Amino acid sequence: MTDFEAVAKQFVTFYYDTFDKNRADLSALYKDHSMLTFEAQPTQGTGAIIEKLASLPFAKIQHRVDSLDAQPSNETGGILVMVTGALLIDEEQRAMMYSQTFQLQPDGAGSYFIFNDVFRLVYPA
Amino acid sequence: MPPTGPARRGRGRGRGATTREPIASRSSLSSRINNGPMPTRSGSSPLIHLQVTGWTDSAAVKTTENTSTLIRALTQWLERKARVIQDKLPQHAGIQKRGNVRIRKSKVEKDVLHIYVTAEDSTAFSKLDGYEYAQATINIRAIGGSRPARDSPARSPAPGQAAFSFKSNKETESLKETLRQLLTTRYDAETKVLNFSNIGEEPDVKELLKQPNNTTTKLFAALCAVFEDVFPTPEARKEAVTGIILSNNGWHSASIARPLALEFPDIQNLDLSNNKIGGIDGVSHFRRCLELQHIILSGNPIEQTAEFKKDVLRAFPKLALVDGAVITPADREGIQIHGATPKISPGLFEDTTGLGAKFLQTFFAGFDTDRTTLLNYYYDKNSTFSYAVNNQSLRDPSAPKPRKGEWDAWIYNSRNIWTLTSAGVRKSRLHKGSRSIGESFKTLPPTQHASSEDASKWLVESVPISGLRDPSGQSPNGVNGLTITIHGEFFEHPTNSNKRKHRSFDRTFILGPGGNNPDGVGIISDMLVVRSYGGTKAYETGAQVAMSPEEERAAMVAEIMRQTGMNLQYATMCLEQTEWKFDTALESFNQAKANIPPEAFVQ
Repeated sequence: MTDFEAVAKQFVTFYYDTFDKNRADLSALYKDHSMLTFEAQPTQGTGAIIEKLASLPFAKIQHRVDSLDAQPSNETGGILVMVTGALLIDEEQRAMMYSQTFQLQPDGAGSYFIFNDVFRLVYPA
Repeated sequence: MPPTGPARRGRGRGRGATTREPIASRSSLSSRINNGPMPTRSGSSPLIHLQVTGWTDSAAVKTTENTSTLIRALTQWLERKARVIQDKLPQHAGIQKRGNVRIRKSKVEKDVLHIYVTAEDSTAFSKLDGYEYAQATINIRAIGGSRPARDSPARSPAPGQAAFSFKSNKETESLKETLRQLLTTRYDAETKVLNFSNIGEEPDVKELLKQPNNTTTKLFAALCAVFEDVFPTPEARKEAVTGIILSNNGWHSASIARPLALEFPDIQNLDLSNNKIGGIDGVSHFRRCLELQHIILSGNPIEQTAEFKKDVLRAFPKLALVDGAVITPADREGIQIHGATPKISPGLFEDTTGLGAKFLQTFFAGFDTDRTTLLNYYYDKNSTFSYAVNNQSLRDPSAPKPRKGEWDAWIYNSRNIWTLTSAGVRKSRLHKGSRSIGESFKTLPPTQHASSEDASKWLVESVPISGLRDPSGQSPNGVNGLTITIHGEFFEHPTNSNKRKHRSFDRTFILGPGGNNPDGVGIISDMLVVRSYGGTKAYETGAQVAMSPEEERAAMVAEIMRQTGMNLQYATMCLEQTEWKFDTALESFNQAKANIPPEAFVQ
């Protein structure tokens, strides 16, 4: 069995590193039937998701992961990944707490893509 | 009003109806069929000694080192199952209420668990012979004198060899023979159908029902008992009967045949045509048949009711056919469980069946008041649970400073794999199966979540997930479910002022087929994050800030998706075509829904 914990940790590291460097590069992780629900707003498809992420009103951002947990989630090799952490925006001192849940699915080529991505700020300060 | 906890298993439909019946006199049909020991007060009757073996092969033995924990779990399981069986036994004077069915004494000798039960209870316990417990087959044998009801799950007692619950006397034997004859003409082993069409006109049945206190319901209970002689295990009965015909009986309610619903919960076809059933309540006893794929209600007044199809689909989630007509996604549109929409908002709640909403109403109330019942209700052997503490999360200014040992109650089982490097420890903190999850629940402090009526304290979002395990094994590609993400708050040790703490939490559930409840909704995954109380400000922002035109449109799309079950693309198209007039969009959807292609809906 795939080591889903290692996959989850690698994924989360890669996801936030990429997000913090160049959000547009995240397109590799989504597919056309992927769905992002960002602060209750649904977006579907790689193009629309990347557009949504690019439109977020901040220039510099840094994610800090505080907690990560993962469980195998379905019969098709999916992994449920849940992260809580802090967003440090545009060098503001005060962090914003967030919670993000990913449903990862194997892409059939030895890698994973994001099927569902639900993001919420849970403490905006 | 605070949410109510999950209904306790077995109360409600099945049991409630049975106990309301007048207790049959000893001359009645059921008491003659189940002519067990003379009714006596417990305590004065001698205890029956039963030997339980086979449990040493169970998975529980491999995972539990503590023998007394293991035996306690096993005896509780035996009692629980025996109570369920007691429910199904024909009632007669002296049979105790199920709450009293219990093991009076027990001891362990190597591989054998000896249990001592009253004569009244022993029938139910004996029937557990052949049941599966944690992947092992349990064998039960009576010691000394009385024989158990079953020697082995595959064999029925030979004629003349009296099973324990049937005292050998001529009258009972002749009645049993009548019922056996009835079954041979009414059961077709090839099609696996029990046909009780027009049962009241059967001469033997007419004769039996002439006797005072005999009812058709008792007749069905007695028939079930006879059927169990040949097919003693639930698995055997599931294999033997896939359809039941109850047509042309003139019934106002199928509850008359409720023993069949208990005995054959796995049937796929049910024919109730040409009765007088006027409403969905008339089939409520069969709602436990969650595998039902085809129901026939033609020739009943219910067909003329406005919401006929929707009512039926709500009652039986897996139906593929109603009255022979194929159910389309359009038929399922907008189906919600009555009165189950919690006042939990905002957020995108894409829960077209209403099952997620119902789940939320019961889950947290159950978690706070009775985790054991909750476990049996929503979790099964495939459920997974883990939690992580986020002890770096910011506190709300109102929250007191953390004290020394702030997270002691949680930290030792916290599974934060961001920081936890030992693979062994990680594994031990991921709990699979209700048993292991129950052990973990026991270590958690008592909690009190905010009332689900208080919308300001909750944030709930839900998205579909596919590829979930199909317990019926009929969908090789798996079935669909819901991923629900919840943000909220609770008090830890709510009633202990010294230990009381305000917490925030984030919890993700995957819901799919499973569990042990009338909706057939189970928890596949349960993942919890506990953190310092962070206030509710984040949940309010969306509501307080005036929405931009884009946000307004997004909210409309979300609402159309929620109400119609269409996916994002089609919901957007629908709104675009009606120039973003919400009511017009919904109306045009309702008009056109018969012609909307399946790909328009959330798969």
